[in-house]
Amino acid sequence: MNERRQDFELLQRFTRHGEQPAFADVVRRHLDLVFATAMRKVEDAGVAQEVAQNVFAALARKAWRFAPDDSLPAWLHKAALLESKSWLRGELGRRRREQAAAELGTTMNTPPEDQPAFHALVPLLDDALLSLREKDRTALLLRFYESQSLREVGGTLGVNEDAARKRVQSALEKLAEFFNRRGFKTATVAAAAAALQHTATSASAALVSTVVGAALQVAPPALVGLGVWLARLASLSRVQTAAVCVALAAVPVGWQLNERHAAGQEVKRTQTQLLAAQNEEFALQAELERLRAVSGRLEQSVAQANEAAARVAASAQAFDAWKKNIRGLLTAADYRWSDDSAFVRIPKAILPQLSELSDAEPLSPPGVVRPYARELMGLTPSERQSVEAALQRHFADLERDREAGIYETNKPPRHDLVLAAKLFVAPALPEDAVKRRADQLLAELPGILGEERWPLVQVRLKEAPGGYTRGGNLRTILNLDLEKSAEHLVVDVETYANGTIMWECSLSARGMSGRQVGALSELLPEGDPNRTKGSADLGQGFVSDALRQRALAWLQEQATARLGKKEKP
Amino acid sequence: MNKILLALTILGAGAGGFLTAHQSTIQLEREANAAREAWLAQTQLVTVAQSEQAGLMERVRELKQQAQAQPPAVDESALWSSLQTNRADHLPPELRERLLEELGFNWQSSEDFIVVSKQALRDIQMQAIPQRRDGWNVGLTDVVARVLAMTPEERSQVEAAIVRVKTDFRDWTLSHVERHEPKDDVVAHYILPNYPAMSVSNNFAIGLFEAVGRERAELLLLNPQNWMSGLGLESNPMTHTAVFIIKREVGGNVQRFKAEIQKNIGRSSGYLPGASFPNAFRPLFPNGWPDVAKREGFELPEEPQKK
Repeated sequence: MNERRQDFELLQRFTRHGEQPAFADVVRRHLDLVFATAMRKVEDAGVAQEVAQNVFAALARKAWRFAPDDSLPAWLHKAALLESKSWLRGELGRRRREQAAAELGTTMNTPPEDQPAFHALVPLLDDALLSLREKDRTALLLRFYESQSLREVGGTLGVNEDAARKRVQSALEKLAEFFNRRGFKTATVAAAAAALQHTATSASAALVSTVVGAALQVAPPALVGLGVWLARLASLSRVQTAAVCVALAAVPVGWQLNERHAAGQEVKRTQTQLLAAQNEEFALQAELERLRAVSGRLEQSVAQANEAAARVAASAQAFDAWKKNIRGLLTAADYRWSDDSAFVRIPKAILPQLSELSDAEPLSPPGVVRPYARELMGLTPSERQSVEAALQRHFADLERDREAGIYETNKPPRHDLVLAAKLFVAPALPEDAVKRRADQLLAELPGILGEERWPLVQVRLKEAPGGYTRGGNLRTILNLDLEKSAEHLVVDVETYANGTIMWECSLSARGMSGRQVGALSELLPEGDPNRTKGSADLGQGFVSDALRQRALAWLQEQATARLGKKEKP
Repeated sequence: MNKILLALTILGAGAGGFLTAHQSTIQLEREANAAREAWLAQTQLVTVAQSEQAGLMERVRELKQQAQAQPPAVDESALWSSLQTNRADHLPPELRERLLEELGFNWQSSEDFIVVSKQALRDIQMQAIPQRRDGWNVGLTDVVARVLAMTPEERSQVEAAIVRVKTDFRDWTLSHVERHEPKDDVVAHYILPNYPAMSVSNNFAIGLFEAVGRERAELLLLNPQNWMSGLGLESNPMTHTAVFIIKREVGGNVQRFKAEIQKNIGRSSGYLPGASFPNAFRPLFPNGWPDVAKREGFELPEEPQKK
């Protein structure tokens, strides 16, 4: 254990446990240093003793402040100097100082011949020591005032003996340099060492007990509680102190940083939640907008539907009222013609006679029941369909029969400009075929219409009784009678004076005859560039469709052969 | 001393760091509080929005149900709309038939009568005042009177109007006809200049309107060529002058009488007795050519026997 550590532990024992022997050991170890220092200043053993007592008393009071790496010798040296100076500031000290100055003024810088050179250095020795660094000063104090070996000095300083020697040597050189700067040209390392050795003074054993006793009288009691902790704190080294302070500072700072981190996390978390809530609200607002729009549309739609329903209901109500009124008018026992009604009622009994008075025919090819006849006969849709189907079958059968008999033959041209001519003939249908078709229709229609309604049609099939005239002839329309003459259709193609090729047809059927003319180019196929607009309706309404189609086919052949795919005429 | 300074420095630095961290913490806590308050406020907004969303969704669901529950618009209203914009008798045939169906009228609905639209009655082209084969004899038939549901009074008025127009026209004809004396081969020559066909027909129409109203009068007058011809008028209102000339043609032992008839600008001819008699002269010669032959003193050839 080095000296410094030993001093520290002794002081610890003294301050913590009040062990006076430990303090006495400290006094014993360093009294020579303190006494010698005081003696150099005050040059009086009694005063030096007093100074030593005061220095150790101060040590006893401040012992708790020492740290393991503090140099107790350095502190004691300094304290001894301060205490000595304090004493010297007294009147006596002043007088002695003046005397000494007077003496010094004569001997300054040049030691007297009869005194050794180091004597001149003594008065400035403490100032020179104080100018050294603490470790250098401690090394010199231990080596010269506490008479420690170089090994012990090294132990106190925490170095080996060789290093201690070097440090002591270096310190002595610095002292010499200090003196040289002060004008002592003869000051050398040896002189400095000699000055140190010369000024080292050993205190008596009795002085030890005196100093201990005086110091302990002013020493505070052993430290307890906070004092112990303060003492312990004070006793820490700088590194430890720094560590403790860092630890002390780090805890709240760390705690605060942790708090800050937590707050930061909280801010982040809350902001994340806020953002999520904002996003959710944004999405909700968008959804709300959509729902509002949908709701608005639906409300409008429902309102419109309600209005429409109300209108429909009102219409239905008005319609019902109208129907009731009309029904009332039409079914009244004393029925009268009403200009307010669009309908009239006709006794069924006079319907055949009314049909006789009509200038219109109830049926027409190729199988239609005229609207007025549908109403007059009160036909249901299915009844109407049946009647019309029967009529269509009848006309189709007749057309087939007629088509089967059609023939054609070439016709000599009437003049030179006629390019080609053809005669198409639809012979009158055989009597048995006409009769068969007529019997079939006249058997079918009464079955559909029933015996009440059939007379409405029947009267149109025979000459009206009573001498009335009638415009139409249903028998002819329905082809119920044998045709006495054939249908003739003469068609030719000829060139007119202006060069245009025309078609011409002459027809005769049922006692009627006629003539039609048209441009042949009208009969060209769709898409032919030479085709011109127009409709070749030859014979329509006068001769049978089958005959017309045969003639048209021949004319179209002629048109294609003579005009097709050429430049437009 | 150095140790104390060191400690103070470290502790001071620590205190400074603490204060800085504390201030920062306070600042962050304030921010956190502000963010939390904003989040709470936002959460309330979200709650309100969610509540509103739930309400709207419920409302939309109800509205959809209401919309689905709406009865479909029936065609009946379309029919009624058509009736509002058109008179029923001006509707297309299919709608008229649907109306009859709506009204419940068909052949089976009554044993005694059938209900039809007035338009159907027009389309029948009924000869309301029919012309007899003998020409000069028109009148109202029972059938027409029943179809038009005439009361006895209405029928009397219509028949009176018919008689009146015949009488008026006969009187006018008798007073305006011009007769030329036979000369050479012309055995008869009569002229009826500018006879008032238009005014006569108008007067007749007015009489019918007054008797049975516009609708039935129009139905009665629907086939003017029949009733006007029956009354002795020509149906073409442009005709103002009627002329007939009968010439004798002799070939060997056979003599024939050829009638040349002129109605304003139209001309026709034929041999008696088959030639059509001009009705404008009916008031003068009710029986046609026989009356003319009797009046002018020539013998009307007999009608050839039908085979």
